[in-house]
Amino acid sequence: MAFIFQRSLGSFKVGRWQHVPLNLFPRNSRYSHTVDGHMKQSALYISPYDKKNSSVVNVDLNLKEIIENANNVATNIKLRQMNVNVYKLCADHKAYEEFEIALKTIEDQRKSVTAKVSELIAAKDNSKETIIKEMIEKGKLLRSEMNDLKKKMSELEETIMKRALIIPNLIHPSVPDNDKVLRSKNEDLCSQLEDNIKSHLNIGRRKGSIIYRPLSPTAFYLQGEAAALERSLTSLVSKHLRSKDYQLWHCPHFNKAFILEACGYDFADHKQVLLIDQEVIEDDQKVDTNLYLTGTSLPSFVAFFARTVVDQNSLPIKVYSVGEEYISNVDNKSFCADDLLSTRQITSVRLFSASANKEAAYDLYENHLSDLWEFYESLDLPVKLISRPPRKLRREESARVDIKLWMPSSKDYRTIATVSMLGDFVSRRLMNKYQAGQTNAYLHMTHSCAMNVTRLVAALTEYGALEKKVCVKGITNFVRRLVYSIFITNK
Amino acid sequence: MPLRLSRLMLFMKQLRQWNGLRKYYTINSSFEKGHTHVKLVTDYERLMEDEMKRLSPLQPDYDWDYLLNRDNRDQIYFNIQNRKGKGDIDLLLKLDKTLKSGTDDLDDFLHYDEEKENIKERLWAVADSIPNKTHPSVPIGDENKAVCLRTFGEKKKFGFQPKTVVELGERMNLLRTRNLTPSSCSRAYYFMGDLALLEEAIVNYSLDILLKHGFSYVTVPNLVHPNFIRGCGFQTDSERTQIYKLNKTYGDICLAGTSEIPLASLFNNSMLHIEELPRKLATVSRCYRAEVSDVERERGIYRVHQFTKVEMFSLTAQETGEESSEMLESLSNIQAEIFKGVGLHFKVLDMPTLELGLPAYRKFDVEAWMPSKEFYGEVSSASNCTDFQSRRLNIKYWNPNLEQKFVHSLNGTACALPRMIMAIMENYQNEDGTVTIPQVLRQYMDNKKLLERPKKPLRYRWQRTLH
Repeated sequence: MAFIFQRSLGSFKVGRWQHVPLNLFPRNSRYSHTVDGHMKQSALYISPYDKKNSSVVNVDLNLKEIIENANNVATNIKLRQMNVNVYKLCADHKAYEEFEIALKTIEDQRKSVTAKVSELIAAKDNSKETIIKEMIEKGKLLRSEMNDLKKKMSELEETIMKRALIIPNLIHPSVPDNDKVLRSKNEDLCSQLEDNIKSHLNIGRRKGSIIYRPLSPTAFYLQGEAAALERSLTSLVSKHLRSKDYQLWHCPHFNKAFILEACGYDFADHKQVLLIDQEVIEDDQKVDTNLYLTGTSLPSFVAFFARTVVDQNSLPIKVYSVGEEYISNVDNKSFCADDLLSTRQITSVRLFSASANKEAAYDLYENHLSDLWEFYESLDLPVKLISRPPRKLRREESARVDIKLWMPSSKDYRTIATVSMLGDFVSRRLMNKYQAGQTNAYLHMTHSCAMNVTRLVAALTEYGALEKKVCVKGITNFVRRLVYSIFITNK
Repeated sequence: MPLRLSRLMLFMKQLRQWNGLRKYYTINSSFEKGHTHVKLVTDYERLMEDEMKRLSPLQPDYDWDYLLNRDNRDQIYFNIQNRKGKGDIDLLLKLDKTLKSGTDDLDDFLHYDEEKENIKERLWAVADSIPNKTHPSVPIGDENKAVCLRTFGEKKKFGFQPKTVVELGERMNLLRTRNLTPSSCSRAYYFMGDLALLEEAIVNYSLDILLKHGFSYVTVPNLVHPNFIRGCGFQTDSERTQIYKLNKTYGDICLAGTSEIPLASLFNNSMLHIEELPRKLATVSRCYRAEVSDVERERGIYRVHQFTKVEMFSLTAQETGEESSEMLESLSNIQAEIFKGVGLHFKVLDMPTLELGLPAYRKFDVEAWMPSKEFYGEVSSASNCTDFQSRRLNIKYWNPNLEQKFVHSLNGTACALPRMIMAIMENYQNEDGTVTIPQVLRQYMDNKKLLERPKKPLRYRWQRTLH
């Protein structure tokens, strides 16, 4: 049974959010996200005493279960090598429960005093006037005590919520202790490739297909073969995904802070997300403040489902999106990227699935894996499917598998796709529900970066330059076929 | 002694300028030795020497001979008056006069040098705000004075009340526009399933036409420094700008509102050869605009903060003086081919002076018929910017006589997706709420003929309360 702080959220009025956008922070300031094991600022949980801001969603963290299974949660946190103390949360919660009991006691006392006063007044006995006055004073004292207690409870509640919000998702039993290669293809090719392979940047610059300009940090243009390759790859993967019953979606690229927080981003950390310095004013109302630019990403999907109830018959949901993605963790001072593997703007293909329960979610996770592996296997390149250990997982992930591709010039495997199991971590924070009979239950989500197209273009540019080796001729032909089949694959 | 110091400072300044010129001639001489343009401009190691310097305000090469010639004052003045009245030619001439007047007073020499710099700066700022010349055929006045050059197709007649694109899309569960402001942004929208496929089909259809006409496909960055936006003639620092900016923590970065900016910036500080002209580039990019509108008919997906656009961009020579005008006609014809292909009723308008932006010499708009709200909506436009942008971005070419000239730049929208989708869906709607897919787009959509409600639609409802 979910444990929700109903009282603290009871003050919201329907429709109030429409004209009161989140405006948590002053402009141009930096924030440390965690302090003493809990969040300093949260866009998901806003105190009822905060007069300026209001919450858009009702967060349900299933606290009761977390507290009942504190040892498991602590092990989970330890495995992830995170600095979160779940036992502090338990202690705070216990203190909160004690406050609740105390509050009830005082409230009962106050009620009995009120009843007695009413009784005495009704009796119209002038001799008991002093007693009535004393009783009224006692009532006032009790009311004051109650108010003090409520304030303390509210502060404690905020601490509990902010502590609970950084507790990571539960680790799925399938997650190994260390990196585990689940599948691999053409691994033997890696050692046979030429030694002096030039990087894609050298090849691209020579051909004029990769161009850097100081428009912004790491800004680049693709033209000629590289541009054609990018377009062909997105068409190809798009066609493959449609054959697997995924639906194409065109999603917005801007998101609000609470969506990012629900997806495990630290929105206050400018290295994790790009903040827009712009307000949009419509009808004299500020409709958009504190916008974040994410591009095609998990938040752009889940923003659709925030505060919505999906019909059970519509499940499972299987969608994908193609477009620009913006990476914030890029050196602002470096105007030319070392390669296409670390640029601020990339083209990516993202998959998103939602289902009714854990079992169905696991099936979807397996589907994502098999659908993507099938695609990458068909490329006939050296690829690996690696299950990541707990310490490599993001906060919102309960399991993740990376698909890595061998880069001939750097001679290492680089991540080209990822598949993440999210469970109900995000949906509990964003009220993403589905209707199950008379009640609503939370959606279970799976999310994948199906293809980092820019990285794949970089890799294929390098493979395309390998002409001498017989063993990779097939790959070269594949690249050629891709380049010259531009726009035909989609017909 | 002070005079000597001042002369020393002047010499230092000249030396710095000379250093700049030396670099410049290095580029030219290597060009003469037969290096290709691409190799020249991708020599990023050389360009990396001083990254920040390159991001310092570009030094535009305004047409001073024309601007500061007093015989042209009236022509420039009336051009400014006809075009939104921005820019002040009299102030420019006054500043020029002050600058040239100089001083004979030795005591004032030092102060004068400093003052001269300030006047120079003001002179450049005023020159920057003076609009491009206007083509003699352009009608004078506001949008009502637009001249219809061509009309294609006819208004479609319906035996029922046509629905809006939002009504059609939402009934088919292919479009969502409601309740997205709290989680995404105002005017956010989702295209789902076949509607997103239609969008992709339009992109591919447009690109196929552009490639057929000799355009090269390029991918572009969407994050750009404000200098490049200003170099294209757009303002970034006005009070209510249309341009989104990233927080200062990331440096000075804006989101491109149109891919014309990164496409023009690709040639920044370039020296082309006449044989390389005309250059024709096409791109597909996401455009971000902070613009808002209270006009009722612009609600829905007509005016949005982010949309996909297929853009055409071209550079031409200016040997005969007609190259860019011919290219503008060519871009306009390509636009007509795209819209005619999908069977829309539209007109091509020669836009009047008040509708021209700062850089445009002439602009053709395409307005398509939107049956539900019964109006012609702008779905595309093409502009000839002559040398306005190339003077600011320093894009030149060598002509056969080995003279350096500024190229002429042109841009045109092949298709702006939300408006194109709006026009197609409203014009091709059927009484039962389905939409017939135009013949030319079917090959890109697995030969689908109809946009209809999916067999398993995504049903959802917004939770009004928080409990």
